Amino acid sequence: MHGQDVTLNGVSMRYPNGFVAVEPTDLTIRAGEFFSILGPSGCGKTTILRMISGFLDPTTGSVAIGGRPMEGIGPNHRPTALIFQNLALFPLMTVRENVAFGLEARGMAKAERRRRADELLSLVALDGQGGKRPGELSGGQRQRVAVARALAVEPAVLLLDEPLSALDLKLRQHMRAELKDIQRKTGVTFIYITHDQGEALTMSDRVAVMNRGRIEQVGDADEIYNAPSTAFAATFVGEQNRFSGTVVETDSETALIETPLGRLSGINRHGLKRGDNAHLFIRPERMAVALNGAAAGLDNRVEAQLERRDLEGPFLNLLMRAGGHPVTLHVTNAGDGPALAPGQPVPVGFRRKDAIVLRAED
Amino acid sequence: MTDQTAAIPALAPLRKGRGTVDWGEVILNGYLLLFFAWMFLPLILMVLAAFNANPTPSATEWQGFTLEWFARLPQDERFMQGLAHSLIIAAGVIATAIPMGLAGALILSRMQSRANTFLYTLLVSPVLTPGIVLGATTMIFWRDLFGVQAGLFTTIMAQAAFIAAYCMLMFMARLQRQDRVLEEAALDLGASPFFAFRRVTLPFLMPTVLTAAFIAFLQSIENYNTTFFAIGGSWTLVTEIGSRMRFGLSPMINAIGVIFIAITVIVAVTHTLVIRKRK
Amino acid sequence: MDGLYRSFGRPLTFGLFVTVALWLFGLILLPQLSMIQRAFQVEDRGGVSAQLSVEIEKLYVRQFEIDQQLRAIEQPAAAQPTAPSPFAPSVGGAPAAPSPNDPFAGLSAGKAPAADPVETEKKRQALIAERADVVARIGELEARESGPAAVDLRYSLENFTSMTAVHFQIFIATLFYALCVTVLAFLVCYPVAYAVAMAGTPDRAALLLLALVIPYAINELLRIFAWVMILERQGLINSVLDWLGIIDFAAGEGFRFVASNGAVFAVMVYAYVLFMVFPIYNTVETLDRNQIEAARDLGASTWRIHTRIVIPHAKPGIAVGAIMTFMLSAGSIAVPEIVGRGMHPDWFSQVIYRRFFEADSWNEGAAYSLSLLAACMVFILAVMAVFKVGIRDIAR
Repeated sequence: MHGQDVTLNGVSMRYPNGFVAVEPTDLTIRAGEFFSILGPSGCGKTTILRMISGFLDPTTGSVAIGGRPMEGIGPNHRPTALIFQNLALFPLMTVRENVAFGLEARGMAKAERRRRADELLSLVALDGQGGKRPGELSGGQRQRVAVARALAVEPAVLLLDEPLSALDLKLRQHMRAELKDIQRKTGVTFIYITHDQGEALTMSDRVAVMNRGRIEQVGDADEIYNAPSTAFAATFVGEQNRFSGTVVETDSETALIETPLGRLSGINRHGLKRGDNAHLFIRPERMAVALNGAAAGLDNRVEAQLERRDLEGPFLNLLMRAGGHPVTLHVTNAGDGPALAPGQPVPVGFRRKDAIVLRAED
Repeated sequence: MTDQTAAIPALAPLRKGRGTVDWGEVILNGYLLLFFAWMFLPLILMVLAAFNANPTPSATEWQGFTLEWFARLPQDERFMQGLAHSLIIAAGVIATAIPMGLAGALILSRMQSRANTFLYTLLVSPVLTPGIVLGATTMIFWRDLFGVQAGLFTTIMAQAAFIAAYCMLMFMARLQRQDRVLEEAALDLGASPFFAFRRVTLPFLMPTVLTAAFIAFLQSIENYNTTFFAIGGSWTLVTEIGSRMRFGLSPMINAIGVIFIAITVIVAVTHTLVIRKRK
Repeated sequence: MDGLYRSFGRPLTFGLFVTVALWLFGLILLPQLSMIQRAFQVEDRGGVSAQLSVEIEKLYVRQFEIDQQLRAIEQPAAAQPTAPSPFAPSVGGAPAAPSPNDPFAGLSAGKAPAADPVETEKKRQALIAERADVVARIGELEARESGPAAVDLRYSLENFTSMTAVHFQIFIATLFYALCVTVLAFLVCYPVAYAVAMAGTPDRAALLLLALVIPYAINELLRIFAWVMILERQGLINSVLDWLGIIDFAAGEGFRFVASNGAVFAVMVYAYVLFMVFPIYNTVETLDRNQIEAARDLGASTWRIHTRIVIPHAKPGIAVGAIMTFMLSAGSIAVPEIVGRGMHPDWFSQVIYRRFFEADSWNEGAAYSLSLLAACMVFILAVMAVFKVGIRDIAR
């Protein structure tokens, strides 16, 4: 099995009722990579998947797999296999028949496809379960049957449509590792659709963040988390504190904005100019309490008032309010932190290089 | 008799009132009792008369127990011939109505078109057409256009016209419960649409095919109004029963009735038990 | 169309359409159209076609005579002219040729002088030639008669307008009775359907349902027959009356219940009542019982609960039940045929039957059938409008 690359060239999808599910999109997914498309439900990510697999024809643009244009090629003739959200295992067939289905459709002899199916079942650690019906298996096992069934047709690209959403948390975490493992073993290109940032960030080589039919950012987990390039990407992935204001001063890297809480500065990612409306984003874990000399190195300071203090074991969540605006801090529970009581005024701050200033679009 | 007595304990009041009598319940239960008596008493009388030696079917003028009327049935050539005709017609109807109903259901459940409701209305219209009209139209059509005289063939055509609609409705109900994603999954795994249909959709529909065949069989065997017009000079078991009834009462008809009723009761009770067991 | 190709592929989609087309056209539309065509078609038998059949009849007689004479010539010894009639009755759909009457047989009997063999042979040849001529002419005329040219065909409303006052009265009466059956069936069935749908325990519900299914599934004819036994002159009711001393069997007294339209009506209610129960039951069963409890809690009377909650919810079921009951009663031939056995005035279904099979007037039969169908369609549309339900609610 060898993964192939997938290229979207100006692909868009507009439904007959006028709804635009996907705006014209260019995207290249490299051969053999684990690529996730992350976005809220209804953002168009499933539509992209269905256009790649051939169930939907793009309104404009074209899809190519392994350099071969896919126009006019039906789902049954594309080198892709799709794992459906509800898995879509055939309930009336045994597990083995399910896995061998694609081979049967290709006319492979019975003994041969049976052997092949058993091989795949052992790849997904389901040896000896071939005679059962899907209904007799647990959720995680069914998941693995679906993977084996898709891999049986030796696809160059495996498309996964939120396949873990039906599982409970523990199983989900276990399956993440397993999927990643299978991907590494087989070298197939995985395109993984999810609204769960944890899944996207932990499994993927690269992630695309998608919103309202538009891909907002593509990058590896570090880039997506640490250097979001749009306000949506910044807030959808992880938690953020947001301060809004107007740019008053810029230099080559940073921007200073005037907010109701005072002047704050951060990295000027969009190259904003004086007078532009801007949001400043800072992650809760990059903020610190500026008490007793801990203020050193904090370029920005905000006066806040502690509202609640939640201990989460290794972390301490400090929920504060600054000028009517909620501010959250995650600090490590070092045991020797300042003794804070709710209602107490607390100065907090952050470093300029941890904050991002982005254009306010709304 | 058993159904009658069995129904009575079921008529116990729904809810125990707090010391007061719920007159609404009492009246409703009394009404049900009357209703079922009205439904069953004539049938019970008919069954009794089948075992009465009195050659005029009667449950009251008892002339002794006999099975003679049953014993005479297999010797009656017209009855046996009629039964054979009925079975031939039923087989023909099943062979015609099942594929037609299935094709109609598949098209209607997959075709996204404004013509959909129109086609649906046309296809179910035979269900809403009086049986004699169906019989008459079929008879006219086949004679006028092809010179085919009314007989077993035209009866098959006339019955299939509306039985196919019943089959279609059953298939549509089943298809509504189908997970369409399964078909997509099959296509995605490289199956041709036909292979996907044969391997995924058809097995899913199979139980309904059997049920529909059974219902079609019953409908065909029991049909009178349509058959009466379309059968021409030939006859089926039921039209033969009908013409015997017109020429006078005979306990042999009661005997046939007993057989029909016994089959009905057995099938209905088995069906109920199977359903309840499944739950 | 795209969705169909995607689901089934082109060959299968094509096959499905062919199958549905066969059903739609071969079993539904074309038969319907040929009935409609017949309904508006008038054959003037008094005109050309009548002349033709008279001519054909004459020719057949001539042919028979020739055959008799030939036989007399060839077998002068044969004294018995009763050879099996040589002619085939009419072929196909042509009206039956007149049967030869015996008197002709006598014409040739004994007339066999057999004087001169040459003369005889000459005569024989002449007869053979004439016979061939006659046969050819018969074929030609018969072809003309069955062909459209000779039959004086017109399209008009005559088949409808010529409906006699009696038939029209029967038509109206049948519709009226069917309407009464429908209303009565609703009144009888509604409480039953409600009680079964609201049965307290699953066991009770299953049992009650079974008690409804069994009579429903028993053949219509048998259920009718059961009532004939009761209503007959020697039937149960008269026996009871005899036992009560109201009438005297022995003296030949007894009511002919079966000879009345009332009996037909009563049996019809019995025969078709269950077609009303099941649709209503199916809809009432889906009603959330809490709605009733809530209404009762709010102090609604039983009457109000039914008129405001249960019946509006059961509308589609009532519509289906009404349509089925009406259609079955208006078109029923089983009940009037078997209950009355010709002793009571005809119902419209019987009138139609007699047009087709006794009067041999298919055109009028078609026109009458079409009237019945139209009446049913009007009823269906009216019910759909009154109950505000669509076709998909009705046929499910």
